[in-house]
Amino acid sequence: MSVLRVNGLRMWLPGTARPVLDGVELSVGEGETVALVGESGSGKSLTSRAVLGLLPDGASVEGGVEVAGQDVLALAPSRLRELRRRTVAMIFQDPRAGINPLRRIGDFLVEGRPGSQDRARELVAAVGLEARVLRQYPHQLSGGMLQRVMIAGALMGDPKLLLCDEPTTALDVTTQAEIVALLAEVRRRYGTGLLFVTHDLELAAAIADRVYVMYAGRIAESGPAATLFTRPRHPYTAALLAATPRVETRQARLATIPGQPPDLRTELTGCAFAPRCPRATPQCHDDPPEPLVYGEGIVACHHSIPGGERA
Amino acid sequence: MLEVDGLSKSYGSVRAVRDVSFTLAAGGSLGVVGESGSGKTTTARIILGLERPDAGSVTVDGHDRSLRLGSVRRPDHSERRPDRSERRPDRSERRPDRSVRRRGRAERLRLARAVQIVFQDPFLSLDPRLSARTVLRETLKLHFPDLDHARRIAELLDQVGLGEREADALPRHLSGGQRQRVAIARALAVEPSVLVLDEAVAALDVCVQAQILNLLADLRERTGTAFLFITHDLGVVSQVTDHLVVMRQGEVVERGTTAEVLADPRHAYTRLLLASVPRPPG
Repeated sequence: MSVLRVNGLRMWLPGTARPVLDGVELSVGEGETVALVGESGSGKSLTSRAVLGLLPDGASVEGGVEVAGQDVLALAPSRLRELRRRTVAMIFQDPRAGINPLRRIGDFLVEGRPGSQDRARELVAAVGLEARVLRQYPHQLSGGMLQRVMIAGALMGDPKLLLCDEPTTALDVTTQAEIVALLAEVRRRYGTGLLFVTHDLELAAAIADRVYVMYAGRIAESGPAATLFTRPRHPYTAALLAATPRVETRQARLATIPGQPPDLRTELTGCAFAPRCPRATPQCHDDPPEPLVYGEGIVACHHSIPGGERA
Repeated sequence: MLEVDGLSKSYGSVRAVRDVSFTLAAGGSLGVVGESGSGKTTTARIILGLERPDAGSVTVDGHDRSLRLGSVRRPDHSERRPDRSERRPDRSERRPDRSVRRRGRAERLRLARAVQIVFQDPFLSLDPRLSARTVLRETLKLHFPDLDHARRIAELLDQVGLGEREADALPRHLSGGQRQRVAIARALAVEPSVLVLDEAVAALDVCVQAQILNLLADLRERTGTAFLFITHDLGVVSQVTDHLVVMRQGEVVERGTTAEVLADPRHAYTRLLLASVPRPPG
């Protein structure tokens, strides 16, 4: 049973020549951690926000977003509020932006949930904070502690699905490692499904069971984290991995991808990655590739890397 | 080239930097790694001359930068920083003393030429009203009034890989990577001995980051400028630096060649940093 199922989601914004999301297919199982990876403008954050029914101004959508069996895009506002209160929760990159600086942490956690003081105390302990933070104000906590508070806040409604949009990007490396460990613990303890949105492929591979790689509003490749990382099939995934500087090995030069992601003002005729792809043929410029199933993974490419060796 | 010796700086009761020393050879590349509060940014600001240390010295090409502009070397470094009235003489004091002011300005320009910086967010560090070409022209006019600017501008744009269109575009019409190229060209325009890169690639997408890191490696080879990388990213450090200083709570806890420190970290904190780098399973 999936807690989240995104079916052929398409989204148009005013003034663009192509859809900003173009047939996104994605699912998160119960208690599963799924990462959605992409660069700026790939549509990863638009996708995760659409799961909450949050659409940009003037957006028109097609396709379905089902959370625990309910179609988010068709819900009445009151039902949508109920869904956000109980079923889905979200944590963002900057915890300070999402909390009232004038209210105590304890008040923030129980806001709109009368009688939930015990739950708040339990969750504060579960995220590794001392009970006294309940009486403290946001400015008295560090960024890492505050992100723990946000996770506790997100868990107050006992959600089935937790959306994490770059939750560790603003944090130090050691704090990031702690938050990642905490999210793994949350999932184990509460069985929460996690959709983890990030630009960091290695972080995605470290935390997730399955990874989706997005490019120009489309899913380029998806599969089990370990396979995707060691044997990428899509040339874009392989190029991203090759461009990442690593601690263990020093390359003479990092591999780069020529060109830039396609502009939203130009229409796409074929594969979105074709103009930058070393494996592209005329076919790639004309026909958009259909997603193909390879073992446990799916890849949308006419010339996917056979056996998935690193390019 | 760059010598940082016994640097200390406190803000109130917080000791931001404690007795930090390191050297950076001509054309070398040194990484300063640490988390928030490690003192790495304060150290960079002192090297640039934006902050004055409570103690210690910063020497670039044999010139001590930590002294007050235009002042003689003060023997006692532990002396407290001068109060506001001392740093900014009022108008009546300044006016008759034009020769001192001129020396002050020349000295200031000389200091600026020695060390330049590229910040994390090029959108905040570039003037939104100036194109790359204008920024470079203004910089060159200020520092080298007698040079053929058009040729030097073309050379700089070429070095950082910016085309004609990008050269005349305003920052808001450029991508993040292109803006960072403008910031690098502006910094290199004055031919600095040391280029400080304060998380200069942290905000960029992986592919753009790789392009900028390659560009920096090329520039280091071609210009002989020494690089000081202030960063939290050990992957970046491994890729572009020869030597490494690990800072924690204002102090240097470990130093050595980058390869040695990353392969065989001695300090528990360095080991923790390395262990925190996300790695895929298996």
